[in-house]
Amino acid sequence: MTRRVVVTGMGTVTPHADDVDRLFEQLCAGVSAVRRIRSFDPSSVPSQIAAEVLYDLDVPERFGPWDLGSRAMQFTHAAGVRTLASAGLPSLAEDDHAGRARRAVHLAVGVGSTAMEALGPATIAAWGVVEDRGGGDAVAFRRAAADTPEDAAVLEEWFVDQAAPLLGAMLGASSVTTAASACASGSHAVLDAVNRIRLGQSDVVLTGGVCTPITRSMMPGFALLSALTINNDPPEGASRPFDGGRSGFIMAEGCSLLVLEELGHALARGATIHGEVLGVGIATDSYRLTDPEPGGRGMGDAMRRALGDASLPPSAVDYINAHGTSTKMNDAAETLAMKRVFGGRESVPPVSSSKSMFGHLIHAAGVTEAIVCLKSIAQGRIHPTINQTDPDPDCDLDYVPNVARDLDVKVAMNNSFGFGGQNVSLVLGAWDGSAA
Amino acid sequence: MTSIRNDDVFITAFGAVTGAGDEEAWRAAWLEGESAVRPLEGSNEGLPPGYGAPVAFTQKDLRGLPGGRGLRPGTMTEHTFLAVGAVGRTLVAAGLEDPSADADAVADRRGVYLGTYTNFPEMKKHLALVHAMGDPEAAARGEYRIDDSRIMAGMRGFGGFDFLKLMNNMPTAHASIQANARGPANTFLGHSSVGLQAIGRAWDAIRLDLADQFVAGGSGPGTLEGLCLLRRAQGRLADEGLDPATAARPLDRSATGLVPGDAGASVVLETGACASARGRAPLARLAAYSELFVVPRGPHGPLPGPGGIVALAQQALSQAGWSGSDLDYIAATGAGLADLDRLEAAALAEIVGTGGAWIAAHTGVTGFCEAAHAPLGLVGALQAMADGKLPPAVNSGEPWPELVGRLSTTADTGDVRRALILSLAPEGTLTALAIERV
Repeated sequence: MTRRVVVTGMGTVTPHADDVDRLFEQLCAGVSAVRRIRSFDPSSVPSQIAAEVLYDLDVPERFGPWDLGSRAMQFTHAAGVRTLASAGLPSLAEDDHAGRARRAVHLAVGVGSTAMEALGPATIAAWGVVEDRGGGDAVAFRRAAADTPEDAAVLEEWFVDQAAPLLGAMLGASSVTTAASACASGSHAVLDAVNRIRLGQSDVVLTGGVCTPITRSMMPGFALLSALTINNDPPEGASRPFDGGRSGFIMAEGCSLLVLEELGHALARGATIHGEVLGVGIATDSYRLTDPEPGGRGMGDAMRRALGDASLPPSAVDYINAHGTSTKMNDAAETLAMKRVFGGRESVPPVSSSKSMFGHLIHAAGVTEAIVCLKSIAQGRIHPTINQTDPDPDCDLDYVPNVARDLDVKVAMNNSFGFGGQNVSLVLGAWDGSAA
Repeated sequence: MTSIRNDDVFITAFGAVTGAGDEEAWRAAWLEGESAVRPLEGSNEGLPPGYGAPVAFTQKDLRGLPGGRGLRPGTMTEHTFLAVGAVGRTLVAAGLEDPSADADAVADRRGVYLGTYTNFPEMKKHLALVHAMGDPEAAARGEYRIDDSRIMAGMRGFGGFDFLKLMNNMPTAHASIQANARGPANTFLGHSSVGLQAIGRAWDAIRLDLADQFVAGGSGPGTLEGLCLLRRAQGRLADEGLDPATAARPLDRSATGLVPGDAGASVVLETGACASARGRAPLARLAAYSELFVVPRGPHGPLPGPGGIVALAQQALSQAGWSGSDLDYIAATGAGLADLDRLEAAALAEIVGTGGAWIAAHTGVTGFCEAAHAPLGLVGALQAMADGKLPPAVNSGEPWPELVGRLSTTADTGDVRRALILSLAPEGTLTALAIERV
């Protein structure tokens, strides 16, 4: 008998809110968090909008040996505090080996803050300032950076491997994993956490993702990939998943976490159960780095495998929270894949894209959207896909256009598909109240 | 519904690219006691500590590998180059010269898990961006201040792939295309322990019946510019001005820090049924995998004591049903960091006890290869199982006291049936893999 995995804690730091109830409330109200970028003046870059976390977080300067100065560490700590409080899980002492042995952390992380500008003083010291790019002297820079370790230390932010150990210490975990599969990362972390519990390696796993990509280099960099929309005005109208006017995704930042727990363990400690992970599915396109396989093969395989894992037919799914990035290719391929998996257009349940309102949280996207699914199950309500004004014949499903809807959701599917062809689907359901 | 299967899982092939050449050249250098550490020159000039064991791997080298013609070097960082180099050699060794010809049913059951450090850009371009963003008037006052209106001027010369290739999953994304793997694929990130973590988690995925066959391992571009500068900032690099050939000193009291080395190393894991159907003879059986997180004293170590390392090994030995005296061979981490090596030395003495396990440490040959370091140690163990040659601990003539008489600087011969590979990251994640010759 496979060990059952339930969700006993949820926490988030997203552009909308640092509270899962307020996040869901605003999504159901159709409120977009996309704004003109405020962390720097974006006037000179093509994509000038994003979904930023604009509120203050009460985060200490340090936790244990870790400096919490970077945005990624601040988000991770804040989301960790909220999630552990939600789960009612106390941290374990370092010498509680038996307790720690049953706890783990699986975190998805992206590229770092890419705050190369912090290297400015060393760069300038080595190169001087010239009007054009010129031929910088790399050797001189290396020597200057090596002589000023405090400048080179900002490179730490590229190495985003501090966040999972931080959570490991906060939880009291004996196993810590940092992993990435691009835009599928957050769901992938959930999948890995589920499998860890099923294998009996852990009873409690703190899992999720963090991403802080809104920087002076990443914004124009992803615009060069033609991945971001450059329709900047109005910001709230720019993310248009499945709409004929879609032109790319919106970058977003945040961190979301879940506490996953073996059912018996959760019941034994009287934890509140928010839902159950019924099935997980993973598949790889093995096709191209940037484009999904046009027939949606890998996407479809992930959905089918998740349903198979849950031992459920497609007809059991009441709602799909789509990957729905607002790019031409993804949304068309995902639509095609959903129609193939569910047996035609009429058989696909209502689909909505949270990214229409909070943009693309990249490594935190899947887990944030899993939280949205759990709230839909709990509240019997699904949020809309906003900015649906211009139908696309290639995207002809019920995307819950513009207005939230009451719906009895017993089973929800969450899709996440990443650059590089990594695809993950989760099937989430209400806990049925049984202990077996 | 997921089922958990407990069939044996085997290693059937391995491959590597290192600063001393491929896995065979690396092995030959190690047995001869030769170090491939050399002065960093050419494009690596000026990098601290001034020496290392870089891999010279180019687009031309990709062409002869499986899937090589379909790979796009412009979308690769050094992490990815090393990964696809190792995976390509491993596929060839496994008899998978053309994975793209495999049937869908086979590709669907093949996965790729790789460990690496955070992907890192070509720094010169990004420094040029930083440079171009600087306000000249502020610079004239000796300050650095960003002028946001100059961002796009700094972006000239960048293409979209310059940022795409920074996605941390790119080594695995490329390797999954190369191996025609449509099952699970994941990239494990962090310090040296993640290469072994990728292998352990691939085994888990096979146990969960998510795949029958995996390519798993790690890539470690230790001589990467950003990584060298970061390690320097952390105070973890070996001293400058040392003789390169003797600078990398694993488990040795006179070691002064990390000597950077590049490598990629991977293995093929598969079920017995899968190997048998392909007519492949297993090299070794996976006997145990364990991992342990210990809260370090600082973000980059040190560990609080040797207890975590001993507990890690005991977990693995218990899972395998062995005791320390059953071990014939231990592939140590031997990073060359005094605060880690002395703990490892104490732990090794306790793990081995009265047994006679050969303690192998390859850092003296090709430096510390980050996430590829432990997979490379695994390759060495598999080679020792096959040829009965026990490699020397190069440059370790003054071992920590607990290892005096246990660490040999000369090669030997012996029967290696059971091996333990240790991968210790000072940042707190410890992993161990136990294998048994078939």
